Amino acid sequence: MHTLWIIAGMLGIFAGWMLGVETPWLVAAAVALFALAFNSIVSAANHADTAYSTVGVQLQKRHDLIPNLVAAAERYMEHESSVLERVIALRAQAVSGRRSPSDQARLENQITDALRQLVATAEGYPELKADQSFQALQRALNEVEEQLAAARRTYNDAARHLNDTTRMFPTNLLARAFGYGTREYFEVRDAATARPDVAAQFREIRRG
Amino acid sequence: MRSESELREFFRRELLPELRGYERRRKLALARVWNRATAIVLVTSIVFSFAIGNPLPLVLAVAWFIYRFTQVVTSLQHDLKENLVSRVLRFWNPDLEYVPNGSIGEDEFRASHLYSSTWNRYRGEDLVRGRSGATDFRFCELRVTRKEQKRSEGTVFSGLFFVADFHKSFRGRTFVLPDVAERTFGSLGRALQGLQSVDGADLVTLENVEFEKYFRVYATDPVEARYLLTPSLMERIVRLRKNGASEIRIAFARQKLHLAMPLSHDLFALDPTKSAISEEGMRTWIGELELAIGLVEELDLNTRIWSKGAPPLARTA
Repeated sequence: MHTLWIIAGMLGIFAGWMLGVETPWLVAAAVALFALAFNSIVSAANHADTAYSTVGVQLQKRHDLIPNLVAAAERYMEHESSVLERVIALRAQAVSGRRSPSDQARLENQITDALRQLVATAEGYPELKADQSFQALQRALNEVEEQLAAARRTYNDAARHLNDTTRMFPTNLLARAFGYGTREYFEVRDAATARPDVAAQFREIRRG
Repeated sequence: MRSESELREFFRRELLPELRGYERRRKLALARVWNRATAIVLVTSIVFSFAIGNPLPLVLAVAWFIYRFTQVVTSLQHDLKENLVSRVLRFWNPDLEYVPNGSIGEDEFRASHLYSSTWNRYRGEDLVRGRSGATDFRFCELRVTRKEQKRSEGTVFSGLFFVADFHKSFRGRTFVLPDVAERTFGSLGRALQGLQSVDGADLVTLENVEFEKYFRVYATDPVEARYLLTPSLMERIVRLRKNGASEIRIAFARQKLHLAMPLSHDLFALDPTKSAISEEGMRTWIGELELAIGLVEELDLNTRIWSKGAPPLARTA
């Protein structure tokens, strides 16, 4: 949105020059415009950083919930160790090391799938389903998933804004000069954004 | 929500006898007013106007007729509301209560920050309150006006005001307002909206293109705005807008959803000049009630899969 004001400002300076406005005024206006353009890039980059750290906080919350969920489930799901092990292994992979947003998103998608499989499998264990701790953990997980989706959407919007700023004229010239680049989006597959169809997954597990 | 056949059966069994009685009273009352008005207007216009050459008695007679007609209409509408709204509500959901003279408090309307203009007259009626599924809600008809000049009044809001518990916990404030500037002025309108702030909330751009075409969103926390306005809720709000709620405003504040839906007519009012015994006419009337009561389901406020209101998380590891 700043680009619109910056272009309007450039046109204003050009019009001032054509109308014979004195040079010091034109220079002052040009400096102000430069500051506006530069600050808009810095602000967009800061917003993207802040938004990405919020995604990180929500991911951390989800990672913290997984051991509790697995602990609650394994008391009843003795014969489903492969499902639980997969969740634990993916979680261990996710909390180790730093990754780019797209790599992190890919790994988180796998965790989402594994958690859905865990919840769908739990449908076959009435005692587990009735367990209050497990129910509370499922609610907490739903909460975190919603918060995570909101943080991800905020980050993607901030990244889109930064990418627009660093690619559009005239801010792209400043961005290139001062080393500001584009950001990757934190993409989630369409299926992952929808509420899980637990019944369908349960039927699939029963069949297979 | 009740099915079409249930609604038809309810209309035939419960409402029709009541409506027949109402229809008799309606015809009688209108005929009485009409006969008296005709007689008085005729007498005053013939005897006085021609005799004394002054139209004042005729003007006074017409004014009296309008006054009486309005009185009869108001009384009929009042009776109808008292009798029918409670019945229809009970049919829909026995947990709902109708308070004809009740309304949602002015403080709550003000706290929603949906309308920034000042007002000096706040009137409300037709309060419906109760619980649908797991959600407590209330709605009423409001007419909020400000005095503009000596005798004229400007309308701040006139229509349905709805308040419900929201199913997720939140701390900040998020506002969904009709987007007029962007629809009219495009990018420039959007740029100008960015300079504006609503009760300390800043403009937030959401990714649903259709939603963005109809609405502008201001929030104190952009992440929280997206937490509240999920893709599914945005689609539901767009659907509501397409189904006639064209200028709706929504505020998420104090753990509640506040929705203001401007209406060009009185809530639950049947047209007293038309026959009441018409399934089609009744369906339109019930449709309005259905829209208001159905907001809880339409906005999916009964889904309780999140932590709000749940027992605290037990430690298992």
